[in-house]
Amino acid sequence: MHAKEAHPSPSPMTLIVILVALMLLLGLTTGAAFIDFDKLLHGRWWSIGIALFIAVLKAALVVVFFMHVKFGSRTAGIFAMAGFVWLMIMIALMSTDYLFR
Amino acid sequence: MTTSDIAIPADEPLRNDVELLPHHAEQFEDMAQQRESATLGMWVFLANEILFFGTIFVGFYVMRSRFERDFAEGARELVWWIGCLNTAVLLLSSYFMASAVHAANTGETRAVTRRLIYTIILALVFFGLKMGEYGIDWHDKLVPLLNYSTVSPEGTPRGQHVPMLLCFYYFATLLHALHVLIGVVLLSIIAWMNHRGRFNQHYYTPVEVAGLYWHFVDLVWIFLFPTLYLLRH
Repeated sequence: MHAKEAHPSPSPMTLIVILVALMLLLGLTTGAAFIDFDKLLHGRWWSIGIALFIAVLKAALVVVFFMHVKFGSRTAGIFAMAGFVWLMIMIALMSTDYLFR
Repeated sequence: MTTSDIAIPADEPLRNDVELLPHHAEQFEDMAQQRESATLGMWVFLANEILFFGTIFVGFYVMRSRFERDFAEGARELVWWIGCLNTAVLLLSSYFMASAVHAANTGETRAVTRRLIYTIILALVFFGLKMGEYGIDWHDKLVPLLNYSTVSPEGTPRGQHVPMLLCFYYFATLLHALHVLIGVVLLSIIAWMNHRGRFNQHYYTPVEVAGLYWHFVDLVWIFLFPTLYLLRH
């Protein structure tokens, strides 16, 4: 009973590829945690930067493919972005205080 | 459920074929508008949730930048492999959720129920592992106020600000665990409704919207895992 899709959505193959990519990124970020990048690259923000960069990549895959932002209406996409944009505003304004004291 | 299952009152004349399709609530123009409204509503709720959890993360990173050494020391004491395993469990459950929505979209009702059940089972596995991890934390005397020791099980003294990391850890993970439990209840109701034939290819918005919520729970953990467990240096 493989009827046609009622709405545009990622194919089963795409979902599996995304799952594999997410698991690989999980392995990568866990492995990276055992290397002291701050000491290796003489900086203070490398470890946090690498961990959060991989987290953002994973989150983007989930939002775009699992949560259908790529396939839904543009309004839904804008609404989805709104939360993250407000979070960025909060982080930016907080940083102006704490980073430059 | 086929279109013939939908009861049409005998005394009401049919205007057109649209009447035979699953009907939308009267405030909406059509099914598409109703579906989009539901999705937008969920995203508005999730935007709230993003800011709600966001404050915890911002607070964490501000405090971590002040007490870097103690926070790294605390992170090394947490059971990273359970955190890692739990991330994999949640990612897999998110995959099953996405494939359940896909099955709903192609009208494979039985597959929807099955995949929702896989999602729920994995959510319970996550919850069980988390509770087991709290047990280990309790055993290692890592619970501020209730069962905390200033000396680690290896006999080395713990930093003064390790309890601050732990407070973030418990607040964030318990709040997340609460979301997981709400998700289990929500997905169970959706799975039951689906089993009873309440959804079909033309109307499965509740499955989709519950899916959005579940992916969000996964999303929060994607950030909690590296934040709490992986900043070890």
